[in-house]
Amino acid sequence: MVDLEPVELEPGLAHPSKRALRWNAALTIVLLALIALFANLLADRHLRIRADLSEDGLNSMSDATKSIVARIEDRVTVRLFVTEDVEDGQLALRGARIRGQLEEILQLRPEAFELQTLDPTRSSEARRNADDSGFRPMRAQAAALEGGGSGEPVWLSLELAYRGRTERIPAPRPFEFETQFASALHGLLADRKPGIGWIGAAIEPSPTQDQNKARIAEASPTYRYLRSTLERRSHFTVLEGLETGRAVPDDIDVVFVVRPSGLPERTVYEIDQFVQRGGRLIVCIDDPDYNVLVGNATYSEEDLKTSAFGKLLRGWGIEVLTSKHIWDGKWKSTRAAWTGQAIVAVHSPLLITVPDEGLSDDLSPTRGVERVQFAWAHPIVPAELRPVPDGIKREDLAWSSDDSRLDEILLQLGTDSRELRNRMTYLRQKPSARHVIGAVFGGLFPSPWKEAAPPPVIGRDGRPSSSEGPVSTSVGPRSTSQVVVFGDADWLRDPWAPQGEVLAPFSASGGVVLAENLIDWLTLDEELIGLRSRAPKPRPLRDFLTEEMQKAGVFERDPFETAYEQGMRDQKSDRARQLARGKQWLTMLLPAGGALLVLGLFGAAWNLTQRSRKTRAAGEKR
Amino acid sequence: MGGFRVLPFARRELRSAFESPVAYVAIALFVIVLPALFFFLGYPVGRVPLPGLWEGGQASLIVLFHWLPLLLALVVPALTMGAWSEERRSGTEELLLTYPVRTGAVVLGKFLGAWVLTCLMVLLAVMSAAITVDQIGELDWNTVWVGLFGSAFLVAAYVAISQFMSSLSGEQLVAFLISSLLLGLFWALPLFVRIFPGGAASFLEAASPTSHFLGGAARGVIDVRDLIYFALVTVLGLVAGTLSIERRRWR
Repeated sequence: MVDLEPVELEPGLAHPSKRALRWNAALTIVLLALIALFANLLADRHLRIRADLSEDGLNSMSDATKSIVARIEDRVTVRLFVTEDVEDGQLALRGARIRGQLEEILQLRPEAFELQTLDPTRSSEARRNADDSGFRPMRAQAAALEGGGSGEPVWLSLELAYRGRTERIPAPRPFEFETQFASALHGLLADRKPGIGWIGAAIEPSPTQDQNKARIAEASPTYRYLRSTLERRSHFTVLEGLETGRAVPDDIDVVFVVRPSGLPERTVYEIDQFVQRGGRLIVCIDDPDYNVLVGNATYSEEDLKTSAFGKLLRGWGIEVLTSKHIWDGKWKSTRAAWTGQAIVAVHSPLLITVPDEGLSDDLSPTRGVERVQFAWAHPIVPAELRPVPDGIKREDLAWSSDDSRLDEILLQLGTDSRELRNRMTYLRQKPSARHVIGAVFGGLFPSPWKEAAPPPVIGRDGRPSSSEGPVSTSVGPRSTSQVVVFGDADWLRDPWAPQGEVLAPFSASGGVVLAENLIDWLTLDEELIGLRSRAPKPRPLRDFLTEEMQKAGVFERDPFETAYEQGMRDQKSDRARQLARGKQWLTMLLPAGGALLVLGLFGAAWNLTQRSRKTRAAGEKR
Repeated sequence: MGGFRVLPFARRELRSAFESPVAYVAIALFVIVLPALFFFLGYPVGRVPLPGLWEGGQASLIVLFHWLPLLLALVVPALTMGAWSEERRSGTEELLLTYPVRTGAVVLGKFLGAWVLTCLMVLLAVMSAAITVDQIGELDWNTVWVGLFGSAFLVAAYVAISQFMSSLSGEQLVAFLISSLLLGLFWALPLFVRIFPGGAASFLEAASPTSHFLGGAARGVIDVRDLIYFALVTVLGLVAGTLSIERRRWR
């Protein structure tokens, strides 16, 4: 047996005192908080692993960016001009986000990039470099808002250098930085910018002093917006003098032929020879064209049907029915109309806004294009009626809705909406069908001048002359080409908003994106299409109000309607509004009610089970 | 010290929740209020206010997910305020602490019970709104599932913090107020970045559960950094709660 003697513990060791426990716990918590903070900061900097599972995939690096980065052969020097110590929190976060995204892109191929970070607020040399690059600092918003002062200057700009070429991003934006960076990189890697030629319609409006005429002239087709977009990213040339025997220059990759009315045969010949050499063509037929505001028709000098250009297209299996217009009862849009006194809104079935479902899913140029607005569009004759020659493939690009009819060309399109409605009532008796507005043709295009003498050039006196101009030999198809044809040119023209009342978006509606995509596609630059198409997919909600209005037969507001007609329309639209609201509520309440019902049923079942269990237990006890 | 049996305590927590009408009322209110805010009000907080569903006209739940951190900052403390303070008030805490189990197991069990309850509440509210939107538009379900996945992490962090607050206080109301204030402050951190200097702004954003949730899961992105953040906050809350209870066990 071993005698165990009681051992007296020192005071405080028997069990910890209250104060010691409190301090111990508090210190442990603080220590843990610090560890958590440190671990969080470490993870934030070094664990950039994420999976973007959203359908749009906008939060992950695009394949286009990866592909552009993969093409780098030498090192790209990235100079980041950034203020390191920013007082303004908002700008500091913006800088941090840009730097985070930049690091992610550079991590794709760290060996292909050299990052130089320069702070122009600390170094005079960095400041000089930033000035030389044309960069300007941003101003801190908080200070500017509070005191009306300019705020602290904050630098945030990038310059990319590669093989002696430079591209700049003066104002990187966090939400589109990847696109900005990849586009700049793409520009650096490209050996040259694509060459774009323009034939046909005037780009600028004719100048006038008369205010009224100027307003109408503004609504005439001009293409300044498109031109400025194209000039920014390509070598843009208005092709003149083709009729004198001048060939389309070799550095031109794509030629836009817009409203080609009355093109001389020699010009048409040069266009054909350009295509025979493998050049790409975008043709927009609009013949005749209406002024969007007054509805007057401007006729072409020559009907496409009998023109040399029309013959060339038909030889390629392309026919645009210029004697007809497409009326679309479903995809019609509101247009502005000049009544003589005022500008009013008219719901016109001749102004067609083609949504996503009217644009081909199979062709990449329509990627990222939400909708395109066409006006007074001609149909392209279907492939069954105008088969393409052997060696050419046709694919439709854009079309009208199923509720479309063809109408004769009108001399004057009145602004009276009753007239439009009567016309529609008349047309509704005709069978409806989907009509093609845009199509793509690819392959070897037969030349009407193959092994034949070229047509005579236009001499200095404006007459055909076989003695003037360079001597050339016609060629047949040397390489495959692509021709894109639209039965309309208005989709390319300038955005136009009369007095801010009614927006006639045209090119702003998506036309320019489509045009840019087409150029990138034709010049085999699909990477840029991939970048441009990175936009959230439109997911419009069902429009109960429009549905009910259509069911009730309430359409556009008619500026000429009588008081009785207006009263009837108001009654119908009130009823439609009520029904739409009812449907809206039903849609919201049913799932919420279902959720509450599930909860109630679960609660009842749970409590009943518990009660019966308790009763049973009590019975067993007894 | 005893064993580490967690599930009996989680079951006990859930059972007591489902036996009282408070949980049903809270869930029902949440199922009504969250979609109502999403449908009609939008999210008018911050630099770029977001329109409600009908006004915006797009089939997306992003506005609903924007409301989650704020609403949960009010609802989670309401559901967890009694987790420890009620036990103490009714005198069952001492009984609970005399069980031959570790304090951590009790804390974890209570946490699991409240977490499951809150997740069910979020699931019901989000699904009822998602079904509505899906009926009238093309909803991105992937984003909904990832949003729910992220919500589970957000809820875990909130529940852990709220239960820690409940363990500190003997009064339910006090526990509720302190938790709501603290979670509300966490929610509001990104709103203060403009008035804080650069370095502090980055720190505040990194410390905010709102930024981690809205910048990631609510957009359909699973980001390891967000998961680590929520896991760390949850663990911190649980450990702090355990230490707080442990301190009383030794008294």
